[in-house]
Amino acid sequence: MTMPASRVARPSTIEEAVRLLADNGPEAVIIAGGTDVVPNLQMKLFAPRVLVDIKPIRVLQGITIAAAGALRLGALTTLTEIVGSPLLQASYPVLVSAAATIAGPLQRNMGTLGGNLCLETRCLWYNQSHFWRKALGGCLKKDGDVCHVAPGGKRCWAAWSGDSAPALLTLDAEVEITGPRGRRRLPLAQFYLNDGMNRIALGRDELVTSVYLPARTAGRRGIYHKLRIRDSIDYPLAGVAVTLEVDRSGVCREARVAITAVNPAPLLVKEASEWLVGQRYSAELVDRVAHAAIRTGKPLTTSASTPVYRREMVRLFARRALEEAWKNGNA
Amino acid sequence: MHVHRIIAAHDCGKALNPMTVEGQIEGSVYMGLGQALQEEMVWNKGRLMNPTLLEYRIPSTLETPEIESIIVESIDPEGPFGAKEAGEGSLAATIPAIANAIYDAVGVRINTLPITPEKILAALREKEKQRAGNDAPGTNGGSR
Amino acid sequence: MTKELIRLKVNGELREIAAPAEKLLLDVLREDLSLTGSKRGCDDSSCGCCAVLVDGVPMLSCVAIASCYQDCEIVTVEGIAPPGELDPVQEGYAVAGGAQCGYCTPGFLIATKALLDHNPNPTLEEIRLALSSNLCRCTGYMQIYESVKLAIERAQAREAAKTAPVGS
Repeated sequence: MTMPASRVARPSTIEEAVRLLADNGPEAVIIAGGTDVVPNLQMKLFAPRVLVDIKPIRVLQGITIAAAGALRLGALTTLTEIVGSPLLQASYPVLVSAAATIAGPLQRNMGTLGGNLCLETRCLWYNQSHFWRKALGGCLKKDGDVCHVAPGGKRCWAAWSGDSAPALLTLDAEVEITGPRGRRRLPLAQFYLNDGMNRIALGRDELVTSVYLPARTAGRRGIYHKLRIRDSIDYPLAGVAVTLEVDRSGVCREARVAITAVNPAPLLVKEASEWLVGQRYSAELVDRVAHAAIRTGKPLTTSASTPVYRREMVRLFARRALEEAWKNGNA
Repeated sequence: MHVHRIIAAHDCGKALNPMTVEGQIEGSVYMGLGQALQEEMVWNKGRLMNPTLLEYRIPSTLETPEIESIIVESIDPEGPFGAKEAGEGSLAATIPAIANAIYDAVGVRINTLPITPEKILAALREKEKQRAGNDAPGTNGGSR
Repeated sequence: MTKELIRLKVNGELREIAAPAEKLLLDVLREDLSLTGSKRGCDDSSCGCCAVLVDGVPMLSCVAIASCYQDCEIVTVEGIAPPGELDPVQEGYAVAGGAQCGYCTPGFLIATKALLDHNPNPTLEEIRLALSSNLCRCTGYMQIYESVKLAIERAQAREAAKTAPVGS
């Protein structure tokens, strides 16, 4: 496979990057770590004329304390930095737990948080070489008009397959986006559109610049469980993140459950907070929430494991993560 | 599912280079492990669905257990300097060894490869269903 | 095909080449700089054969665009020891059977070098984790762990020899 011919621009400021994106519209593709974008470029999933390398933008790096005790993670923070950050380990363990499962150590050295949040959706019929896809006449998402997963359908079901986003959803994280009209911040839950074709609420001329973790979710117990066939390198086939705040008497004060890789978006399980807050641990309650997690997930035949098994594992992981977070603190 | 340890003894005739023989045994066991548990070429109407190393999953360091190799030396008068093969024999033995270990651990026989957690779960459910059906007084469940 | 001047610091030397801006670091190393130690295994950042050190950190050169790494110190497997000498890591792999067909070996050497540079005496679990982005089809990884352990011993022996009193 080969790279499409393109110009490489290396802006050193956010403004410059945004201008490049605005000037080149759909012809521009942002690149940071490259672990997701470069294979996709070689498969000819995108055909940009300009690659905008944002690595030189210093202000996008690192973890800093922001206003009101929030934590700001620059978009270029590497996944290795997240896994090794004592601050995150102490205050936001669910994010560390999730980031530690992403691919393997070498990919984490390159991959960035911003990139992990903007991953392309994945499907067995889409993540293939140009040669492979051409033989089929493409698919709904790229170069064709048929969905091979749900023939006859007009919706793309490619699964959003990242690990950090579900963890961030359980921390009420916000994503900061910069475009020609300035900066805007939105809850991460609104960033994902649950559409395999148009996965994120990011304009062609916009850039994810930071992620904010609010002070109020610091210290929440949390854990992430991931289904994969191989213990390294693999994308998730299903994943569940849980955070809990439990008071001294064992009553749940705050709860979030999020699932990933079983829909075109990472999603919060809406019923979880409603049902768990104010309650004490019971196996029956945890089962009920795990069942709600299954109903939120709609896996289709987009990956190696079957939808039946992935649903089953969403239930198991939700139950297990809730039990661990409730009983053992930061398990 | 996790394989804790594999011990392989292999008759290689005269071990011409013992370190290489051990390496060959361990490598063969590793390939057998992959074939037994996670490697699969998935076809759909003549198309290979997983033509990459990302989707055709050979084991990483994290799933590969400690492999202990034992060289069983003999002399093969037909072989060069008394040597036999040391390349693939241990691969073939690894797959049934793992299948048997699974049967020993959870009591179900899986006879298609790879033996995935999904297949084991389905087999366990099936077994439970049969047991519920056979639970009439006087029977012993009938599992072998 | 438009070419650009690309300046790379590779194995301590400044190299200038004319190549398309989007050319991958792996291809530049292999085709333009004749450093064929780094291998192409997978094309999709999932096997580790192409690993190189970028400012001391092991990365995958098959998903790195060369022109984006012009400010970095790149070390390939050819550069982990001076010409004619072997790094303890190379000695370990050569002696203890860490290489069979050898295709994955450059990637393993780079990942091992990075590990031992940061953690000179890792546990088996730490070695496993550090090497978990690298796939090997031949060895079953056991003799690779032996090679890493031998590399640790050789490095310690060299350190001891360095600090030992001269003469005697």
